[in-house]
Amino acid sequence: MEPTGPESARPADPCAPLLERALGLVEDHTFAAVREWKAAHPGALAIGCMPIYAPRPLIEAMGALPVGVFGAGAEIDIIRGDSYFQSYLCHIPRSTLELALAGHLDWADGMIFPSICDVIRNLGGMWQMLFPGRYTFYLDLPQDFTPAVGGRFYVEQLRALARDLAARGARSLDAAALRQAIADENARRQRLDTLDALRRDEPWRVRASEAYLVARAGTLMTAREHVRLLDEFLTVIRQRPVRAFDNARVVMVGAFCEQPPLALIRTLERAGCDILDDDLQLGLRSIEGPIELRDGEDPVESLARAYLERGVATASRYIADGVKGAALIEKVERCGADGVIFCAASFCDPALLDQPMLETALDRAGVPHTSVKFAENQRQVRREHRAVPDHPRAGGRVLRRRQTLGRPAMSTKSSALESAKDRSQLHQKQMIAGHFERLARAREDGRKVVYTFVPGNLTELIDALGMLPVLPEINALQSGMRGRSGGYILEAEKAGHSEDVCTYVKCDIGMMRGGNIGPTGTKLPDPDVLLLSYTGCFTFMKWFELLREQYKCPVVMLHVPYQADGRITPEMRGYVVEQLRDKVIPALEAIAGRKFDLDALGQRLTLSARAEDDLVAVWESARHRPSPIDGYFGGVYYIGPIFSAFRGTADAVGYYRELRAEVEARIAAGEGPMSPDGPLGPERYRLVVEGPPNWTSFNDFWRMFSREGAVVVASTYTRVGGLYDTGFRHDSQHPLESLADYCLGCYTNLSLPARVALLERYIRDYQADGFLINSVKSCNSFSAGQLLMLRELEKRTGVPGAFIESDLVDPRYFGKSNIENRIQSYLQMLEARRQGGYS
Amino acid sequence: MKCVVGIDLGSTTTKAVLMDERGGILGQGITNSRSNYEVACAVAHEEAVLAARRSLLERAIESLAGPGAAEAKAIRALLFDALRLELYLEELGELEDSVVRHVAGPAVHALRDVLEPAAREVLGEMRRAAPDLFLGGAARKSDFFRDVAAAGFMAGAERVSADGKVPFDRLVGLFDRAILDVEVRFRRPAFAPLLRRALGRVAPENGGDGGSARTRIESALREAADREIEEVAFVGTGYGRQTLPFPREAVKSEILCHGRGAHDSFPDTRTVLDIGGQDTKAIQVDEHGVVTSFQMNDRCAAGCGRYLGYIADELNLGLHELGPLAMQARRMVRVNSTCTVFAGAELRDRLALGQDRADILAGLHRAMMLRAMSLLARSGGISNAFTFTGGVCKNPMATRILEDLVRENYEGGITLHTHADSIYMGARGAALFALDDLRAGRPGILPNFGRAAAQPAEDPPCGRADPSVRQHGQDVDD
Repeated sequence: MEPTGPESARPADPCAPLLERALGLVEDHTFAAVREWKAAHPGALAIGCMPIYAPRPLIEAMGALPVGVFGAGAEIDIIRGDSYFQSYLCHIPRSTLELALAGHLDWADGMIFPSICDVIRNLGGMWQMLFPGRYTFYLDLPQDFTPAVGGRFYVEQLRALARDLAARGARSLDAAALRQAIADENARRQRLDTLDALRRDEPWRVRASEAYLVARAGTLMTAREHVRLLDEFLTVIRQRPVRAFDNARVVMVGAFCEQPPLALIRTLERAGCDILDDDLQLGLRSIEGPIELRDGEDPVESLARAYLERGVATASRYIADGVKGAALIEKVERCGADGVIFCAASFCDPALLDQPMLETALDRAGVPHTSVKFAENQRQVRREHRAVPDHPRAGGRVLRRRQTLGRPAMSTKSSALESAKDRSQLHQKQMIAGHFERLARAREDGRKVVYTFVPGNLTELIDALGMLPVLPEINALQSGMRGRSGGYILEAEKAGHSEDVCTYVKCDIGMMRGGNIGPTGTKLPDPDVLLLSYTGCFTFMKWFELLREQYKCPVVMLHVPYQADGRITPEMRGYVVEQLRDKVIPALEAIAGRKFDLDALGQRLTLSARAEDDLVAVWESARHRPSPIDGYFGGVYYIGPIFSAFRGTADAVGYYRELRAEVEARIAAGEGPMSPDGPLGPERYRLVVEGPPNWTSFNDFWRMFSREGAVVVASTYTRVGGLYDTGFRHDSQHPLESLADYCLGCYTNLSLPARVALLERYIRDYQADGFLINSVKSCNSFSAGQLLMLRELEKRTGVPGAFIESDLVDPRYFGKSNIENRIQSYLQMLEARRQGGYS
Repeated sequence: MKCVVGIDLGSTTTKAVLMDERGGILGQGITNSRSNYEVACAVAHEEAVLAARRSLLERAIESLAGPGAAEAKAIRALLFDALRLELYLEELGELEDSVVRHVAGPAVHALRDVLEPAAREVLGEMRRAAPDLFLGGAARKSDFFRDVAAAGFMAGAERVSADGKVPFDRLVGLFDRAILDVEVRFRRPAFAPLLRRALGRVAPENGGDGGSARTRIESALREAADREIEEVAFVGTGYGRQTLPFPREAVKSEILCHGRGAHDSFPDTRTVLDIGGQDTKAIQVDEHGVVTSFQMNDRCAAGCGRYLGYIADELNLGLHELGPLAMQARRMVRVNSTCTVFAGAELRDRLALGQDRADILAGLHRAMMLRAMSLLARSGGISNAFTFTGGVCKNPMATRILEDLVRENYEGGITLHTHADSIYMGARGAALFALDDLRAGRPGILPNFGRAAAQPAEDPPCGRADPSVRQHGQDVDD
């Protein structure tokens, strides 16, 4: 028999009017309720808050209304919003932008973009460019949870937000008002807890879809109003005539940002699931229990402390201590759930990267699980083909056994042909081979191994402690160039990783599962520590959480704040320096088994700066005509030593001196750069390129340019591991500060407007005929917002741009004829425009 | 007369345009791109030559005066239908030969005694029904031989296998193999004999009266057939450009070609939307037709012509039937995904929910055009005038929705141009680039795609017999 819940009692359902009211609020994309609130509170501000978490009590304490903005669901046409986002990005940014461009968010006196992923982060930058007069605030939630370090940084951000709001007409922040607002928030939290408990105890009395509506409606009102609504609901819900029935009891996770269509939640319910807990509307439940107010404590500190100490485990929060998935299992046990349904938005990096770890934890605990993917505007829902359980009471309708998808065969043949090489390139090859030899001998030599990332790498520090770095991105790109990445990625996908997420991660996981054989054919040593330099890329955090699961080694987190406003503030620098001094260095010392020597670091930083000078001279040589370098395809070789294990070494200094001399010789001879087919022919087009290259067909890709006489005079990808041509140099006089500035200044840590400004500068300084954006599916940090960058750059420079799409190391996403078609069209367009017409 | 050739090799169809020295269209040809691009180019090109001869003939008939002229003009339309019938019958003959070859092959040899007579019966019936199909005013789902023949063969195969003695699947399998041979074989139809046969159908001999319509047309035919068509330059473009059998210097970007072709058709064009089989292009052009920016759909073919193709297959309809059916919708079902992979599932789900077929189709069309609107916005929006081209432009529902969306999203009376020959815009633009070469006195380039496509005994149909000039005059002398 079809299980029926309160629907059967609908004629007399006392909850219906309230639920209808909540539905009306949630589905109203014009935000009429917010407009009414503003009309009733003249002069008061309304602040839009993107998921997940925003400090609502602080906003309320200033007399302003925090308003949850969760996209537009399914009911509006997305035209302009879609025009700014590639198809491999999630849906919430496009519908949110559509709302804003249509004027539906013009009530907002400001928007808060919390640091939950690279897409929402970049959406904040797009907001700055599209709505220059409107206030945007990037809430960089700390990933360091000690009060003296992360706490201080967070408190400073809260104070900055308060200052900004006051400057825009909000009441100034007053401790008593904030205490009251926190008390109101705690009252709301208590009602939500009651509602959750009721759901767990009597799921037939209140369905998840109803609890969701009543919670979400509250994001459009003050906590106090929401308390009234919840009280009313809790009263009528208890009067609802119900009968108990026996459904599958499940917990749903993954939909903490983009919200699933209501129909999906209801469908799961109709299919026989009681959803006893979920992370929908997580923002209102981001703090476990009440925010504790201590006597004599500044309530701003209380708010920050609550986040640090009692923030709930979710995908966008780094799990520093404890076991990944423990919180979910505890939730399952608390609910007495039979299983878990993963319900993530398509292309949601946090949820989808987290999911395999949670699945592993559930498998270990014997908790069955299945998964679906959705988009907020979708009628069709994709069930992932790697589900698990078979709950007898679910009648097999929702939960199914694991299936294995047949995967297309993939060639492992290398597409990277041997290309013509400069002498410096051969030198570099020897340096890298030497490094891998050292790695192979690391154990016998008693050297500790640090896995870390290119952006924000602390190579000088690692070297000063006698440790050896391994850079997984470089392994992944090497696998791509050697034609191995396709197989590795399939391996990772077979193990449960989503096809939507970063292929560097999957390539690395696949390589690890295949024995961790490095590019030179020898096994890489396991890490002694994972140095998580969390710089400019959300995925880094998940990547090392995943590796930690495998290697069971310590992770050292270095949270590098994002330059959302295009500058490094003293607070940001201080936060990084404090982490280096109080966290990173002591942790590395303990693993290295030796004391950190500041002088040893200083000596290395001096060498770094020397190499950086020569590298900048190489970059700037492209001002010549013909350019003696290709600043992208050739450039990726030039950055090899300085972005990897050699910054701060005499080897690197020698390499860059040699490279510079080679380039100067070419200038003197009036020669262009090398191409895969030998010296480049006459220079016909000078281009600037944004975005990483594709590695699986690197030389094919390069030839699409070199054979047309197109040379890249500057690129941004070659600045991801350090941006030196705007003046920064490592500085032995201020070692930790300069390491902090280095990390903060890496290209992907720049705001979108700052990235546009840098590209604009390159286009002008290097007299480019055009610019090209290679938008890679894997890298949201780069890609989200690139279509706006394209338009903005065309507008500012009058130079036409081209846009192509590929991927880093997934050969499935490199459509050769498709890309070549676009590039040739673009170059022919440049030619026709140069001629001023056809003839 | 001197002319230039433009070929647009698309994912679904290949188009050719012959253009005279003044930029006038002499002839256009189209064929499905099939698996062999060389043959597709050769066939489209040959069709264009045939069409050029046809238009020369039309002009000759048009200029007739005196006895029989009025009668000749009156049967002109029927004459050209009869010409298509003759072409169809020629290909049907080839199909029959191919069937006979395959039925003797090892794969179906055991069933030869059953399949061969059945196939012959089906093909014989198709031959008998052909005059009605082309001269009887009946609607055809497609003008491509494969489509017309497949429809006829399927219907016939169902009939002859109704009693269960002939295995339907094997019969259809036979057709599938045989049609491939016909498709990858290049023929050069001889214009004059074909037309004479066509003339015999619509104007039987009546005693040699010099003033009869037939006699007058015959004299016009000689004039048109003897006229030398001298191809002096060539440019190719299209989706399959990387595998085109064209010399590298003769290849132009399809973006430039589509922009230019559309601008040539409507000189006030500033924005072009082209929706083809595999891709959608949004192109901005300046007052000279030079492209200033463009955007194409990303790697997936969502919202492109192929999407409608899947929907048509799912509903067992012809592609050209979708639009008119969608026009009958009373309400528009909201569809938010144009994923080609899920198109069939989406449609089945909605039909299962009891939604009306026309309403669903209307929603699917709208979803597709919303995607196109996003691409247009990405390329810089829509500026007046706006020209819609490509295969999908022939779909009346797509055009109507586009008009609505432009009105809803852009202020101030944007003119939307569509053209009956919108599918030829890329080839037209390519021909214009070839014309540039002709006018600039640059050495003409002619393709040699015919070499692989041609029958062994024949000359390359479009090869460079003489270094730079290919003449077709002799083709019709027989």
